[in-house]
Amino acid sequence: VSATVLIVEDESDITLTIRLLLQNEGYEVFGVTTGEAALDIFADDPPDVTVLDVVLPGMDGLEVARRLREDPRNQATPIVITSAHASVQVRRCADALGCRYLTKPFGTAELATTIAELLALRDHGVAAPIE
Amino acid sequence: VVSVATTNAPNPPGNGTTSSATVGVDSATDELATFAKVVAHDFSSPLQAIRGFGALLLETTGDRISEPEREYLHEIVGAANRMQALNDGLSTWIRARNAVFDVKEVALESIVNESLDAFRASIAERDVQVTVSALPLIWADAASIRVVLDHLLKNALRAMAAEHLPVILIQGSTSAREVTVAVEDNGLGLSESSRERAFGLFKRLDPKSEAGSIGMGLTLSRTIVERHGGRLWLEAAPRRGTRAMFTLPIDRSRIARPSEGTSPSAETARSRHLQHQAALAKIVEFSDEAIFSKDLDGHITTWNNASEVLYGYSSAEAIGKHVSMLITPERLPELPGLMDRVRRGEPTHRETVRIRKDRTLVDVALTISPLRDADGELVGASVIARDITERRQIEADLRAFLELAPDAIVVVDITGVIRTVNSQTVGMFGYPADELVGLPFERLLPHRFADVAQQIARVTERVPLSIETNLETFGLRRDGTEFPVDIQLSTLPSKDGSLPVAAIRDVTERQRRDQRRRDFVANAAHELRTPLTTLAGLGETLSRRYGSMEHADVEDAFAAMARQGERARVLLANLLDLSNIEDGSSKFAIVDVRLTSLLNQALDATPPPDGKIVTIAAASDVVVRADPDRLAQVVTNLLVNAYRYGGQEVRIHALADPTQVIIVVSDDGPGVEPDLLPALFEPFTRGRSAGISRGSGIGLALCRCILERMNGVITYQSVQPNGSRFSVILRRPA
Repeated sequence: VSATVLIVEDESDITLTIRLLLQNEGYEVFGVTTGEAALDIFADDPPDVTVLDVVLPGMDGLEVARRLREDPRNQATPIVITSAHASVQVRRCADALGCRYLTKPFGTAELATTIAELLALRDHGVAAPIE
Repeated sequence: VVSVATTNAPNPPGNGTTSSATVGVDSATDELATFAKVVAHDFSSPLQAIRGFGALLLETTGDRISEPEREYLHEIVGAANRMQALNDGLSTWIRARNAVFDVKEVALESIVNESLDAFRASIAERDVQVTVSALPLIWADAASIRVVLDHLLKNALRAMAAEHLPVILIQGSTSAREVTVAVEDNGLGLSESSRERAFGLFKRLDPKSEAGSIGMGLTLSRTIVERHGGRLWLEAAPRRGTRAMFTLPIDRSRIARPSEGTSPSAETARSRHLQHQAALAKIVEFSDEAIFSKDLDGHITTWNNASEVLYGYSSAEAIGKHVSMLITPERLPELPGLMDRVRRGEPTHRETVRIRKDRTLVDVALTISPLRDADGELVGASVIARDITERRQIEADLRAFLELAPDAIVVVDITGVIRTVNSQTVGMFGYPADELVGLPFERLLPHRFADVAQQIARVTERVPLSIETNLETFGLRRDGTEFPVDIQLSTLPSKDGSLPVAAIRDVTERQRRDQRRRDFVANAAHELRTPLTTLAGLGETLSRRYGSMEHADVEDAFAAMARQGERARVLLANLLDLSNIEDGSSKFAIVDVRLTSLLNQALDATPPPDGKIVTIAAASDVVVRADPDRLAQVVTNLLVNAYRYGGQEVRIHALADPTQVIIVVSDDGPGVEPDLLPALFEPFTRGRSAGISRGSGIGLALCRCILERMNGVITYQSVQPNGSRFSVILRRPA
């Protein structure tokens, strides 16, 4: 069974870009455009991994990550936070929430590798070998 | 053996007449001398007691004390005696400093002979050959010069070496201004360093010499000579030994008057006073300074040459007239106050304006001093007037120069108090100029920067590198508000030494501009991130996985790449456009434009998307002066915004009156989010509604820039209950 990835991103072309990339790496990918929608999905059927944009209409990505971490079921869920603004504060928040942080434009290989690493850490407690 | 050569030297002026004179200026009271005098006086009676009772003890104790104890007592009495000798020396020196000299024309030869007579025994005993030659007449106090010669002879005799024939040479010479006397020996000589040390108050050249000679001699001699206006020094004699030299001026006016003491008799005092007066009169008459005197009523009593040059009145014209003739009518009220000060005997220093005979004005610095007669009675005032026109001109130039500077210029004194400011300072800090002058500089900075303010006074220090001369800090206005400033510290040479100067620049606007530029760059970069992420990401996925991808996904990927490529292109085109319009490099062709055709043309270029309706309401004959392409660009941008953020219906209507044309574009959408309103027409302000058609955020900023170039404005109102209304207002030529 392939791992599921939830993309939370209001730029549809970015969602498309990430989806096509990860689908071709064998993940099952779906997307929402708001933080509220993302929390609903986690409540019903939590994905294995989520890729969160910081700037979203309404609730921002960091707030979504904070709420997810409050739920014990999601404390080990791999979260990748993406942002168009390279910001030290955002990076610190992401670190504090146990999230990876990528600045746009990120290389697609970088995103795929990051997700693979996080899943390996969650499942085996070790980093996946780097390709 | 004493041989005396004939005196053939030229004599100083006044040869033959013997008159006494004491002339000169009071030397400033020397604190050290006063102190020494007090010490010498207060020491004398305890010393007397120690010596007296010590001697008594030595006599009366007899055999009752042991031999060592007697030795100790001898030591005590001996020390007290030496101290007495020191004290006597000190007193002599003080007397020499303060003595009233009876300065006369005397023959140096007779003084030398008296002195040699006194040392005849020592000279004979050591078989010294003394040669005296060319001794001129001198102007001096004979008794004091005798003291000097005694000391120099005594030193010369003491320095004699045993191994060869001792020789002492006494010579004199006369130049135009002074007489020089040399006393030379061929004795042991002194090193260069001990020659200077020899003049220390209690220095002894030979520590083993008798206690009575306590090293006061040379100091005393130098004091005497210097009080005559001459110099005394030691130098190495040509072959060996020491040569003591002293000079005495021929100009009698250089002989100092004692700082205290009384004249020998009232009669000499009166005659000296008269001579003094005569000498002063000459000095005043030929002085370069305008000097005149007035009586207690203000009538001019004397008038020197320079006064005539300064004021234009001859002395015949001035003497007897009232000083008010030198004062402009509007300054006449100053006069009673000045005269009051004169009558109270108080001096006045003042810079003011006076009027010449030819009615021209002159800037002067006045020194007005009370004038007393021979009996000390107040009789009027002397006035020294200096022409300060040139200085005033320099000051005026400097002030004009300060006003030219773009910065607030603040000149402070070395205690940090503001002396001079320009009007820029007044405007920047909100204080009136007269309030700024006299204020401590640190009041212009917030209290937390007091240490920075104190640096300014240090800028005049010799090591300028020790402080930062370019300060970035904050200014504090009179009303308590702060603003960012750059302060450049430097120094201004002045008559009081160099003064610290601060050039202060308000950098509020510069910082705001810098911030906007930084924001603009950051925003532009941010706007490019989405297109670049998409293009690079999809490009990579397609190149690696094309073969295995679903056909629909491949189509979506290419469509997204095209869309984001176009978005980046539009963004860059808009930025370039904005930049060209802002810096003026883009040309505008202003012509008469018929509004209805322009609006239709814009609508044709941007037709409404499916489901939206545009209505145009404009009188067909409205003409406006504008660049038609640029105005169409504005309308197009507003239409695109209305399509993107508005509801179903978009209305364009144009209004015209004789002074202006207004184009209104309104929609029935949700309106602009209130938090966007303050920066609505700034670049990168963008509505947040999501979707593939989101704009670059440049459109409204571009509209504002275009309209500014055409003397127009653009405004926004929200429409109740919902909708946006953008109004473009263009002025019509009269």
